[in-house]
Amino acid sequence: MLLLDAPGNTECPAQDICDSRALSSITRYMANTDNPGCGSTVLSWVSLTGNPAVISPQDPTLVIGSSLTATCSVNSDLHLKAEDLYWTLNGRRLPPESYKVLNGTTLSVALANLNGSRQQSGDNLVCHSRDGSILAGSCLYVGLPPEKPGNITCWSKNMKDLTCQWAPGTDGETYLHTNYTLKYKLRWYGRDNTCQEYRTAGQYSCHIPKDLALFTPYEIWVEASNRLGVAVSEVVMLDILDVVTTDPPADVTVSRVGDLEDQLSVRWSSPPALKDFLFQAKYQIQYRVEDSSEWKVVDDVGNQTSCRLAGLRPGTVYFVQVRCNPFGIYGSKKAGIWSDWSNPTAASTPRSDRVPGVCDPKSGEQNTTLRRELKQFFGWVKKHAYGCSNLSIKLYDQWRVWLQKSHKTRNQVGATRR
Amino acid sequence: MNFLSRWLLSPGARSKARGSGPELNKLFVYFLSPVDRANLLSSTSSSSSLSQQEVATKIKQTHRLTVLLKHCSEQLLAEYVRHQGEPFSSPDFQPPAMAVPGLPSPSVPPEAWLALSDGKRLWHLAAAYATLPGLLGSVRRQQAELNPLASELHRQLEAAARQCLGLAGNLEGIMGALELPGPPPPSSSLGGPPTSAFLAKLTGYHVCRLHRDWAMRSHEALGLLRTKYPL
Repeated sequence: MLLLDAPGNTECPAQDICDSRALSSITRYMANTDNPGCGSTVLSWVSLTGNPAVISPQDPTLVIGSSLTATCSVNSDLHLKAEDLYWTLNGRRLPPESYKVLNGTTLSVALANLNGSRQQSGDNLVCHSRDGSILAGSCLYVGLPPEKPGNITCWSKNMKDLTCQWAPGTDGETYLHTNYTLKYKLRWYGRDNTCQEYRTAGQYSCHIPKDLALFTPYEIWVEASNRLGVAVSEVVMLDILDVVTTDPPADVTVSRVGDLEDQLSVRWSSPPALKDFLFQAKYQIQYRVEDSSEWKVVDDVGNQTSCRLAGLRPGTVYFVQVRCNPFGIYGSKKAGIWSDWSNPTAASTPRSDRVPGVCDPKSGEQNTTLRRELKQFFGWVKKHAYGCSNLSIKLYDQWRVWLQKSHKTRNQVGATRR
Repeated sequence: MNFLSRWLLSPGARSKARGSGPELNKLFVYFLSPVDRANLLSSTSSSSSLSQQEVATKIKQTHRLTVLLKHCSEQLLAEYVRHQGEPFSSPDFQPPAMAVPGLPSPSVPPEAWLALSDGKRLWHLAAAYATLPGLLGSVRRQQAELNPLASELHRQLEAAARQCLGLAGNLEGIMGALELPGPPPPSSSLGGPPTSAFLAKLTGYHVCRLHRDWAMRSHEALGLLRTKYPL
């Protein structure tokens, strides 16, 4: 049965009619149009035995630059002609020159040199009837097969787990959703394992939390796959013990060295996690002044848990960080991977008391020097000259006082003379 | 209705009448018209487990839930269309309407909706919210395949399903307290998975749109109910 209302009909079908149709097994196909008399749904509607139209191919996958011819076949019940149809791709109307009427109810479209899909859910290729309503759709997946992932780097925290990072081939843009799977197996054991926890250290990373063997090499690789193909990285071989890192050193304290203005003493304890393992830790310190972003690195700290920084500026605040490298685990000669830096610890060097102070007037300074010299002279006279025993610094001071007094009166006299 | 019967039928009096003993009740009932008598008897003899106060509180809570649903459903629809690409995301998108199996679109026009009784309105809402959580779950599963990286969309779809479940539970509670009949449980079959990506996008759109339309309706209905059962 077919009931087609022209758009603009303001009557609402009675409720019971709606229900009886709902009960029938015919698919209801309603055109959605706004109408004040009918609320926001249901205006003109069509009953059909199936979909209004069918597009072929459905959900094709294509390589960038390829061509595609698609067809839209309308259900004959609709009494629509192929000439009444038009195509859109992602909402943009396709030019009629690319259309071809194949028969009374089928219209084809030719697409050439396709660009990569605009969204990962696929480009929407839609067949419309003349009034704009959607009859059918098909999602196009246009992209590139994945490239080989590379640059696989892994590290193990305290020999308990393994985290690996990799880089996608080229810049990773395949326009299609690309799935990455990290796989690993013991070199001589045969069974492939798949990593489960992804994106723990950036977008292209995976974390293997347990059941890792030591002293045995692993083979690790990454498989990238999307709708257009698969790419496998090179296999990386490593022993967990070769890529061990640990927590930063704990309890980092920075303190002054007595009154020394240019030194600070840094102390820390070795990371607790590796206490039971036979290893020699190597440490590195970096420090900077408060208002600078340039870090100075102290490399030759060795395996002590304290170090003295020298050559520092007095009265300055310094930020200090320490990190650890688990060197030579279980007797191996290899270095591990540096830990993160510890949280910055701040301390300041003492400021000296002797301030290159306020400028004394030059004459004053001279007086002090002169007076000192005179004092020394009179002392010498007393000792080595038998005469002038009354000469003393006191005499000099009295003379200075007299000088000041006479200077004043001279000015006053000068004033009255005028 | 005379003054006495009006007072007797008020919510405050009903609770008082319950406590004042059978003799007093009989005396009051004598003064009522037959219709009022019937009303009073039916309401005082109801042994609802919730007091008026509790029902009113529940209605207020549920109304606030519908405010949340109204807001979230708008956001969900916007987030959904964003990930499907044009023409879904264009403002003048005209989808072909399709019957989402098991979920009636609000087919009652607005004026008729307002003219329905509270019981009928709640019935329609309960029927809708019994099926929405399952439908939103299906959409989430489909979007996991179509848009695997759209984590915000997945989160919102999950949240929407949870909120609908919450509203369904609240509606059940209110209808039980008001002794209103509820709709039959929904049929478990929601139809098979969509046969094509485009159909999946379209189905998801309809579910999100209906979710929003029902959120608006439920907000309206609970608002009306709240004025009738004030705290």
